[in-house]
Amino acid sequence: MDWHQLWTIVSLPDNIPIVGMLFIIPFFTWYGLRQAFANDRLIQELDADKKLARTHHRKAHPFKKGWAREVSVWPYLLRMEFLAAVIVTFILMVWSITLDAPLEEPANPSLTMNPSKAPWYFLGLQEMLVYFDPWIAGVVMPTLIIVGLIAIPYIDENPLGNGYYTYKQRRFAIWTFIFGFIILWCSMIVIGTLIRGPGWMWFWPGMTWDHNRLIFEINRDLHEIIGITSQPWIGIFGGLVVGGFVAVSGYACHRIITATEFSRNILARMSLLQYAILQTLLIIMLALPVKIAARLLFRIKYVWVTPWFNV
Amino acid sequence: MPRAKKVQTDPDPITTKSYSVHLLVSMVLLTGSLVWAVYDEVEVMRPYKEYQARFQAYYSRFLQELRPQQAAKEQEIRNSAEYQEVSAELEAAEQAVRDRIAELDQRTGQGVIPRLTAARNAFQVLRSEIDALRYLIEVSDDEGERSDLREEIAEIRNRVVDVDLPLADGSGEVEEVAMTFEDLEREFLGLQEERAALQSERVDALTEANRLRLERDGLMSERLVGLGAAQIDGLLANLRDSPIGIQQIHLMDIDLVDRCESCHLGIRQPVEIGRTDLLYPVFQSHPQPDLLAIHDPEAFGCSSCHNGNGRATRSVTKGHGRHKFWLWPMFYPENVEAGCQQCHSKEIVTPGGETLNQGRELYMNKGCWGCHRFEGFDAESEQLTQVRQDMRNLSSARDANAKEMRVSLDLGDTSPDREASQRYYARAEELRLTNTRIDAELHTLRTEELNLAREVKKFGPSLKEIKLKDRKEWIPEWIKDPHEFRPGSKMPVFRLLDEEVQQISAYLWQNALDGQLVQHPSGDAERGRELFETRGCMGCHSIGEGAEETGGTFAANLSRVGEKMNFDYMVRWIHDPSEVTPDPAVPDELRPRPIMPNMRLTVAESRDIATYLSGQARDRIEYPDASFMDDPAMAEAGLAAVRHYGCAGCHEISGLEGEGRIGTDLTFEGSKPLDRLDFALKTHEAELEGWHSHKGFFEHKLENPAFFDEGKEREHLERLRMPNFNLGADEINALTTFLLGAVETTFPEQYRFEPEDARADVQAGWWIITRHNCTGCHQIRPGNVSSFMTIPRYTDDPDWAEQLPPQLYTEGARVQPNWLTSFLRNPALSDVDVNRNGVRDYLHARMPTFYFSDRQLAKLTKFFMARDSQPVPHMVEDMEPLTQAERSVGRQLFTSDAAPCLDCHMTGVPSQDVNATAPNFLIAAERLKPNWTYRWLLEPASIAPGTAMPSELFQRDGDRWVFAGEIPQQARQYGGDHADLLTRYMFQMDSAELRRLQALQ
Repeated sequence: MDWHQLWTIVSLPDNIPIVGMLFIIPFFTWYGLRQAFANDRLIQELDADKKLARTHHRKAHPFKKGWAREVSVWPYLLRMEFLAAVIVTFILMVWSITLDAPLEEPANPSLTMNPSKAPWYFLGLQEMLVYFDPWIAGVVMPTLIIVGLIAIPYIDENPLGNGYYTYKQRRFAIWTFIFGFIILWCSMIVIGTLIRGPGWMWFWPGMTWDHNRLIFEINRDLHEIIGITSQPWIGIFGGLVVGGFVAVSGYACHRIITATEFSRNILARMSLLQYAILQTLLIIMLALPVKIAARLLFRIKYVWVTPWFNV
Repeated sequence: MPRAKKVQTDPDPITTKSYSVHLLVSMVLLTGSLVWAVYDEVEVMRPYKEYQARFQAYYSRFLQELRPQQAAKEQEIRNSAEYQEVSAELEAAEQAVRDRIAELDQRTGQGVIPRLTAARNAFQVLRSEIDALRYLIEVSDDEGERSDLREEIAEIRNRVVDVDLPLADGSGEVEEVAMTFEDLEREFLGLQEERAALQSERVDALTEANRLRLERDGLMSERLVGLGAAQIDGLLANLRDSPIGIQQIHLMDIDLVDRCESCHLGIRQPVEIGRTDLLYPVFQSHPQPDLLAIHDPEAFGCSSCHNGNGRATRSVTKGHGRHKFWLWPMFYPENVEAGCQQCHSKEIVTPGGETLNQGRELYMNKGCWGCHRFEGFDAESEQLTQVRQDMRNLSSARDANAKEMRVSLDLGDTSPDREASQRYYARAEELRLTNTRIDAELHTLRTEELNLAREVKKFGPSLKEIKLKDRKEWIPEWIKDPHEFRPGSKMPVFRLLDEEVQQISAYLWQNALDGQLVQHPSGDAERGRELFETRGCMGCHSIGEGAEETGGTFAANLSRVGEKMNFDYMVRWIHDPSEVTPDPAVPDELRPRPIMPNMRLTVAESRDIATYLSGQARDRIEYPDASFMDDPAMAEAGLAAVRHYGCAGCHEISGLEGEGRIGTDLTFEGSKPLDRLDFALKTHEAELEGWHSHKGFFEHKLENPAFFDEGKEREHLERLRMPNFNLGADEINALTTFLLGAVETTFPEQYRFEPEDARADVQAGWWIITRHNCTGCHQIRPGNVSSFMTIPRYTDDPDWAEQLPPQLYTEGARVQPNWLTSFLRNPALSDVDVNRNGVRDYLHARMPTFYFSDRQLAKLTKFFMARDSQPVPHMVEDMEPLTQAERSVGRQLFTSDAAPCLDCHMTGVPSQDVNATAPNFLIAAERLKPNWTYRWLLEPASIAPGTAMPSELFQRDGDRWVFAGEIPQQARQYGGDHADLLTRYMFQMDSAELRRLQALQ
């Protein structure tokens, strides 16, 4: 165990946000879910007691006698926000005094540093480049992420859960978020920061980042493993495999979307276009972990090789 | 606030809970962080403030302690008789003119100046009014308006104004004068003239006093070591007033900002501050003020030489650039001269850069350049390639011209148009002339090629002759570990497998030339030893093992040469190193000449030395059988090994004449990105231990060239090839310094030392001198210790000390360039009688004949001339012929008992020359410069310290020098300069005169 190396990585001013993220994200996920479960219990209670629901303006659980039925934004919310702002400012001040900007040597165009890493917030994108064609990972996927985020309000037909934490009423949205953001995006940033060393090789935490390390890894296209050697068969084969994946994952997503009475009701409110977009985005999102697994576990480079693009 | 009910209630946490404490605490923290930020900005990030405060305190204390000492010294000088005398004279001179000065001052101050001021004020009012109107005329378009304006000007000129003018007698009374513009102008100009006249009169009156004051102050500054009390007071006042802040040097053209002096405040102080004088070494003054005087920090900055991050002021580590991300960390003290190399990259000798010079010399004399190209080293071989390329280009241009010429002539013959055909003929004519010029150029290049071919020398000995030269069985033993046989040998130790040793030996043996050697009987070993020790062999070669080793280290230690070398070959080599077995692969005129010079020994002498050296052997060790060296299969395998290890980089090997270098180019090794230096498995270790730097890499690599192979799993041939030179710690440091400075500099030309005047000749000369080890025998720079000066015989015995080869400190001023060239070409100064020194035949040591090309001879001559600032070309001084009377006086002086010139100087008569210790006068006219000779007669010791030539032969008498000893009869009547007379006499001496002198004696 090379503690010095570990310390070198985590103490790098550049990596401080990531190390912070390791703790902050689980904490706030837990904290948000706790409130969501509490609200779910309240909703259950109010559903059972119509009278209570009529009088119960302030949605707090459990509601105690003597509590105000309503509280105003000013001063009760704003004072908390002010306090939070003061504390955050304090943290930023201390941070900026104690840690200098992580500047390195002057750029040398004829020399690429190794490992050559993007800023921390782009490390997820950089990590995707390992698994996909640059065209897919660098252009298509980032565009789809942004388009998808913009599209959410237009495909979300669930009228509930606005303005309060709830799990039951937004189970699908929450799981999609946890999967897409926390599992895929954040973990890829963490991998890019803490795991990827010289040569973009996989170093477990505590391993020495040895510039001379050599590993034997041959990534092959799926068709090579199967033994198809010529176009157009390669393209047709890849298209079939990808088509198969789309069919299977589309079916699985549909099963999830229609898993409960509640979600079936939501589905009923959606148009075909909304549904198609939702399915497309979900399938592409699912493709990422599938491809990661195919690469890391089975050393598959591309599944679908065509003269124009590779998947 | 919601109304609370009477019922049992729980307090509402949102509405009732107070956050005052939270708010207070976080506000306090926030305010605290603000204070911290200000403190950080003002104090923590500006550590130089603390330095400056301390410096002010310690330095003023230091100066105050210094002041009384300096004041006492000043007083002492003031009390000296000379000072007193000048002071008295000064006072008298001042006294003499005091009244006159007072009168002049009074007339100027009270009379002329007040009147001038008043006149000028009035005059200026009118003039500005006129000037404004003139401007209006110039810009006006209307002729009528212009004439109106002109009239207005005329009106002003005629206007009479009343001016209050103080009287010029200084009484202070004022007269009112009515004046026109012209009157005023006249008055004004007249007063100005008067003032100037008064002022110049004042200056004239004070001339003598000022001269005396200068003399007095000069006396003070000449005698006072350090600063005077007044200067110290000035420094103290400055110190008190100097504000605390960043001290920076900003050089716009190279975008350099150096704030080093924000902390290193003592660097440029006029007082020498020692390392601990101000408690902290940071405040010491620059240890080499002379260096700073040449490289003014205002023009060069600090980090341009020292490296480091000149902008950083946050901490010592950052300022010194000892930081992973700063690419130019400050050089450590032991490598500080690396900074010189950045700009002095064209030199092999930089005065003052002794470590750097040692590094360059090692690079040259350990043969690093055999494998690693470095710009400047072995430049001749590159020039040779270039010259040959140029010759090819010119030849093809010539052929093309000839062809076009023929075509043009044909066209001219056949063209029906007269004008056109003349054009064709003209073209043909032009081409013919062009080709003539090309022929001339080709001839020049051919000469250049021959010169260069003579200069290009491989580092090691030619291996083409090993069959004749070496004992066969010895060769594999040597290749296996040269340092085992000859510790410290320049041949490094390769990490060879036994089979590789055998293969290489076989290849070299079978590819060596066959030839015949003249058989020699053995000579007298004892005489050989004497010759070896005194003729000059030991200027380069050493002998004796271990602690007994004496002599030069430039060439091989010959302690065991008898075990390896063939006697007949040795005789031939000593007698004439350029004599070689004919080599069909190389035409004779392009044959490289050895670095070993010709000592111009007779065959018998060569035989004696060879006999002595053949006896230099340990008790005969039996060498193992080496019959494998005749196996052709072995030789075939050997070729690959010879190529792989780059043997041909240093040695002439048959069949590998055109072989290139196998190592990396080191010209810019110091600025190679660190990532490109292969620390291999040592990377992590180097990072942890803090030597992951260029310095660390060079030091480890030089100490053990296989170091970075350690732990690597590699085939034998994939391993690092660099052999081990077994360098000492100081050698490693010198080479590291050199390599650290080997950077691709970003400085513009004016920063680099690449002169095009005479200084370039000095630079070029040092390359030849270093390559040929001239300093092994001669002292060329003060402080340089020649190999001769380390041989016990010369150090212990004063008679032998006189036998040291001459010092060449001022050779350029001494001798005439043409003579110097011919002397360097043939130091015997004769084609027939070569077994002698041309100038100092009385020396046992022999100036050998080097195989210099004409180009090198010219460079060396220019080197000596440039170093002594001699004009080029050299103009022979006119010399007044001696009259009969003068000749007679000269003769008397020459032979007087007080200056027995012929006791020491050679005369050409063998019986007399036995005891001679100085050159013959007959060559003086051709060899020496009269001007130098004159100075030499007056002060030989200041030209050549330790010379046997007596000093103070002459003494000053008025404005001439006269003989200091008893002046002979005729000379007493002679009114001229005796030293000058002697010089002229000497320059006009011929053999008849010399014989007459001898007769007189």
